[in-house]
Amino acid sequence: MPQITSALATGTTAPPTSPAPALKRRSRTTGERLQTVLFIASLGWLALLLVLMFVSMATPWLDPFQQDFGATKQAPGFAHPFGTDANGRDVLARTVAGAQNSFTVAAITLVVGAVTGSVIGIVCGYFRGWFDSVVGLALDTLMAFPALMLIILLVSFRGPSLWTIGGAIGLLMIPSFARVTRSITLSVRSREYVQAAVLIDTPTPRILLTAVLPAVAPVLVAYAFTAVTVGIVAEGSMSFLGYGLAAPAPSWGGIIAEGRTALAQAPWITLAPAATLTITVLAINVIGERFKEKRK
Amino acid sequence: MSLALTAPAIPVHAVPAVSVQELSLGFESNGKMTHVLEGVSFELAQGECLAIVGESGSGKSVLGRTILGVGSQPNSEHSQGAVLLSGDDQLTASAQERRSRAGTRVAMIYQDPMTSLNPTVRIWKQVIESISNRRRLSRREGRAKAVEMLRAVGVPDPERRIDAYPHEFSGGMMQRVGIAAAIAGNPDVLIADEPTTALDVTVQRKVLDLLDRIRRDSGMSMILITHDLGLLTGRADRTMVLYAGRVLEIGPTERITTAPAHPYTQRLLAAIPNVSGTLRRELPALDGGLPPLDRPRTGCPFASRCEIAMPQCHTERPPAVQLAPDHIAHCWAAADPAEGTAP
Amino acid sequence: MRTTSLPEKTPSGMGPVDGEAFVTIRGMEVQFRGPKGTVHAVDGIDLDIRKGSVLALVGESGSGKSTIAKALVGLVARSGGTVSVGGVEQAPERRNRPRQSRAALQMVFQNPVSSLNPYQKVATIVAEPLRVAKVPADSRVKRVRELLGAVGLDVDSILDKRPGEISGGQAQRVSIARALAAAPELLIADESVSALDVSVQATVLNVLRRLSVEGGLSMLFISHDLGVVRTVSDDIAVLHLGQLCEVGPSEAVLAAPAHPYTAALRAAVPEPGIPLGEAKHTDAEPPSPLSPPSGCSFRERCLYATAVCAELRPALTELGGGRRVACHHPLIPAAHDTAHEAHAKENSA
Repeated sequence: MPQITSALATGTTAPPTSPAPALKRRSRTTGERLQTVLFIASLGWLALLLVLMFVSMATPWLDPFQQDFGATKQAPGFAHPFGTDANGRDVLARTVAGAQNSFTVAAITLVVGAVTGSVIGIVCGYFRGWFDSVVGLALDTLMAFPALMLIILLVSFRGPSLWTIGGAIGLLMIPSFARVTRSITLSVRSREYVQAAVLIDTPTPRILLTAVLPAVAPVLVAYAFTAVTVGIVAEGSMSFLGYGLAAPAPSWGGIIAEGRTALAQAPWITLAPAATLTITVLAINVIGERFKEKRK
Repeated sequence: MSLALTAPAIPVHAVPAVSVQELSLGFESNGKMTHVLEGVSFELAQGECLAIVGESGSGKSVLGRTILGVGSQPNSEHSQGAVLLSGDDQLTASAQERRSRAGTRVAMIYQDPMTSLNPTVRIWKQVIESISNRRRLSRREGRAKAVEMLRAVGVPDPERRIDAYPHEFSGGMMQRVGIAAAIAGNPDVLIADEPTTALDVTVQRKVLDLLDRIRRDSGMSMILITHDLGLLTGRADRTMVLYAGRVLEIGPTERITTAPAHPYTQRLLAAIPNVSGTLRRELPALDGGLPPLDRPRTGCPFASRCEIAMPQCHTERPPAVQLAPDHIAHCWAAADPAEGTAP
Repeated sequence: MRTTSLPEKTPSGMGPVDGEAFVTIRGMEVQFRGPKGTVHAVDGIDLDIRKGSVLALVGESGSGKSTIAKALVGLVARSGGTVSVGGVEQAPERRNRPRQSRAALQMVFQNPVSSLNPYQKVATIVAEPLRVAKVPADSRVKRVRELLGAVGLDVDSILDKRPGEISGGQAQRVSIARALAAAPELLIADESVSALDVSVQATVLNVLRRLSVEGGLSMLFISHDLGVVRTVSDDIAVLHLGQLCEVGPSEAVLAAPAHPYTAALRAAVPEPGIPLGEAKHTDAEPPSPLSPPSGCSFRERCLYATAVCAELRPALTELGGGRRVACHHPLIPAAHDTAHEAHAKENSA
């Protein structure tokens, strides 16, 4: 036997030792604290927007249409926190009203894009076959179509309403939702517990409900956050280009466009809604990230 | 019956190749701490082969990775104790130092060569990686070295195979390539983490024989991590049994596999369905499971499942009982033969 | 001591009494067409599973053992051959089989945790086959408790757990309970203990053995581990690259292998405390299913191969005692030879 020089090998029974000293946990890092602060701030921001939106809808304050020709292009002050525009309308009120429209469009986008896209994705992923191939081709075609042109065409034909804009953007999101849900469905389908369900003759709708849907849902929700921000920015861009809601209906993009000509003298007309849009999108992203982290 | 070894004679006071002293390791996530290793101590002499045997939750793979020094998650890992490679502590070394030691002083062979090799890089580049990371090799030098290594591990037609990609090899061949990559840097210590678990049994033996031959020819020290007690005879000089992060028993392989002292080892051996010997239709099963890993253990971790557990087994950590010059069991029953069923 | 109530013996409306062939497979073939060519995963297999007994399918990777199981159950469509269960011939694809036939064959998979729906509780998982069979809710609850008890689980503590909260051994027993809920005539265990620790494996093997011996359940047990196979099975079939090498009672085959591949497998099994003897196969690489050798698929690694082994695929021949072997140079001479020898001995005595 090779010589073993271990101290353990020589000598007799070692005295019993107490339990090993406990390992200490480290304190929260700076990065984690910052993330928590951002998360709370984002929640706060969105809550604030909601409150303001409610006020605008339910009370006479924050009326986006009220014009005061005695106070046009006024700089931000106590009476008008975001200043006024060329027609004397309160920019804050207009921005808040614009938020209502943006969120409505985002909701429509989700319904059309997320729901339709997911159903298509799940059905294609689970059943495969010719349906999957045909639908895949259709979606690829849709994705190849220049998005801008499609929205412009649709809006030109049907007129600029919330449903048309929301529907158009949602339509363009269908392929990405379908793709994501299809790939998850494909991976779930090959899992042994789905094979087991087939073996015991579980009806297919029940398999989709109890096995596929719970796997798709978390990813879907996480992706929905991104979709909402895309919808908001898309709506803003469309309105900026003039293919969004018609004046005088307030929308972030529209207000930004209006303020373009007066940028030198009254920059707040453009900057206020632009900043609001940016912060709102950032807030939604932060919350979405947190949701993804918690899911892990 | 003693096993004849052809390893070179080792001077009595040589520094052990690996010395682990009271190693405790925990992982933290979401505010909860999981204690993976507790108070692990052992030594690996130069040129010897130590088998670390354990089931799931024993911590054997984490132990292997800690000795290797790379592949850990520094943010969530907490450790105490010492892990010495020929006297140099891995736990207090910087990430850079540990990276430079991996490949040259200690190397690892992984369970699944399919996932440990890069599918997009040709074989020869991966085989000489531990050398090329440290010094510049010309293309000719590198390829020649790769051929030499592949020949050493028994890959036929090495001049042609060095340009292949991993997926072009069978499981057994890929593991040989993995071994070649591990020994290319001429490490002092080779850690093999379940090297044959993913291979068919007819291929398994060849790979283990190869590892054995490499060790004896080069004098490398080896740690064989496995859950299969059948692989050890004739290959590992000593065996250490790990359970829920603690060492339960350590000693010469022959004793551990034929006359173990610790009740866990005894039960483990009894539960293995045997191909030779008497047919047993009903196997002695082990009820219960591992103790919760989220708090430090009091007493013996096996106490909740042990048939001969005494009251103190649950409350006081068992002592290291010296049963023979190099056979130690951490068990209260072994300490007091009158009370338990110690040998 | 736990009281175990085993599932009632299923009324064998489908035919044969204990000991007779219950599942008959003749000439089964399964081919997969891939980019690199056609793989004959199963290449002409004849098998019988007797009622109330356990047949083990043994082989290494590429042997086709899992494919046979899937083709038997209809999850994979066979390319040729016939399968009869209780005398009733089965369609290649599962969805073309009558409901009663589908329920009669159930399977337990290798990976314990991924075989269970992670979003459901154990009670729901085991109740699912009963729900499909439209068993009323209160009977379902009672039956689920019976089944969980029959596989040796602590019923009250496991009912409300989810798969992520239970151990591998417990999960595998839940899978068995679920399969039993469908009241099958044949249970297929596909590497069902391979992913479990040795200490836990024993519990599951004991459950399976009891189900067969006391409950009269027929079983097809697929494994690469000869020790496990010996403990749990009555008969064994050894496979190599989709072909049958030998068939017979497990004890007899393992104690005295007739096929060189069986001998090679047996010699390669590592056992604690026993040094390995010499390898009973050559150093050649195992053949790939994409390019199988001509004639006998094992000849490249066989110690006794001759020219005829490359030309002619050996047919299954009787050895007596329920044993059959497909080899030109079996390690045990064929039945007619032993009968001839016995006759000669008698005459000379």
